[in-house]
Amino acid sequence: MRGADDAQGSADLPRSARAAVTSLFHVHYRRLVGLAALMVDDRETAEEVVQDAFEQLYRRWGSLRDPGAAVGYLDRSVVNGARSRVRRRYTERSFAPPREGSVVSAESVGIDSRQRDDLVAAVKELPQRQREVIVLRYYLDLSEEQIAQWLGVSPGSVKKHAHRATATLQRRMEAWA
Amino acid sequence: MNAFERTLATALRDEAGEIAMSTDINAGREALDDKLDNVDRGRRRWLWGVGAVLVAVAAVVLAFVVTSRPVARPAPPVDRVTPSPSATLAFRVETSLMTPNVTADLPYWTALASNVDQGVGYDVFDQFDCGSSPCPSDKQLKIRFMTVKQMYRPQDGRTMTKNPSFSVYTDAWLSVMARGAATITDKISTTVGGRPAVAMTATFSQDVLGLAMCQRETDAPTDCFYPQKARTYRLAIVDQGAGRPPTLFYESMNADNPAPSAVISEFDTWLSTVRFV
Repeated sequence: MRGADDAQGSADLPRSARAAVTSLFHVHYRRLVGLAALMVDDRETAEEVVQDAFEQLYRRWGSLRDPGAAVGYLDRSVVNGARSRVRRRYTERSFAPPREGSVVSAESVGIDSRQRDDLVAAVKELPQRQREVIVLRYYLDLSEEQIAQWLGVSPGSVKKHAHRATATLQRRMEAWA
Repeated sequence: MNAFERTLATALRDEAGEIAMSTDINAGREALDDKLDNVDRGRRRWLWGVGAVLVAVAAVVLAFVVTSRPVARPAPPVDRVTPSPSATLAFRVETSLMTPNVTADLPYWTALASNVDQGVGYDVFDQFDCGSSPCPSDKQLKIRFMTVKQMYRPQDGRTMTKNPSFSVYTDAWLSVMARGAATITDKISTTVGGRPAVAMTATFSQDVLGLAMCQRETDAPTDCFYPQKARTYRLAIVDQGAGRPPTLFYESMNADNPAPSAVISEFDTWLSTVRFV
């Protein structure tokens, strides 16, 4: 078990720590901004969330047991950071009506840009927890058990939120059709 | 995955991909460099602080040995004193969005917590998942402060309780035991920051949605703070007086924590430093 000193991180971090974090940044920064942007509503906040995740990784690099786990750490850190930002945002999200003239079919596999925009807009209108579940399930491809662990809720709760969210989205799309 | 789910996944990936491709990585890199420079400066300050503490402790010990030794006899060798930072250092926090606001000297790990967050009515300090089971006793801990303006009582289902009194709120926590959702031990009456309070230890066998605190009057139980199953909470509820929302303090750990008494002791220590401002 590491002591308190180790948790702080050595003052003389290996020189490679900064290089390693910077290298990860170049590889994963854009992807993580994309992930964060699905969970918060604006790019600026998404970029801040990802910056904070890399900062946290750097702080904890000395106590990271397996540097190979850094990418997973970053993913989770971004999700947690985005959730915190959304929770911190005190104002209610205003409802943005869908665009008129959408022709999205719930049965279609192909998707054009307008359909995509409408569907993404609908995801962003979901209640916060449902939106988190949908992004983790369909963007990160996490299982219900993994999502439950990440969000600190039961698998049954994840299943319930996913079911409600997909039902809402399908209803929305059918209404627009 | 059915057709709709594939459509949804495609939409999300396309959206994220577009955002990713239009992100300015150079500006991001500059901002990151600034942050990492700040981290390095903080580490140096921390080291200087620890060094100063060690020097001061060593000086005090040396002075004590020198002044207490018999004049005629040679002094015994002096042991090096190296106090554990976790035992001697605390991280002073002051909230800004609670009612009333709070100052407290928290254990030093909170300064390094993976999730430090603040919002209207709450402050949180969470350690990241430890990645093993069971976690070491000093891992995966969470400390939280909350001003309880609204919450859900277990018996009320989805009906929110607004402005709960101290007694209503305390009874709600105690009622979870009768409902089989938690085991409560060590309940005592005490004071926190000079105000009356109740402290207890509760180990939950199921989630109790909305019990701790809801930030907004429109929050559903799942959007609120709530105790989770397989976690143990050492908590104190503080009576702020009639018409004022009670304050909740807790430190939680995994229910299989191998040394719960150490965490409880840690909670009691920092709780004794709480002051209302």
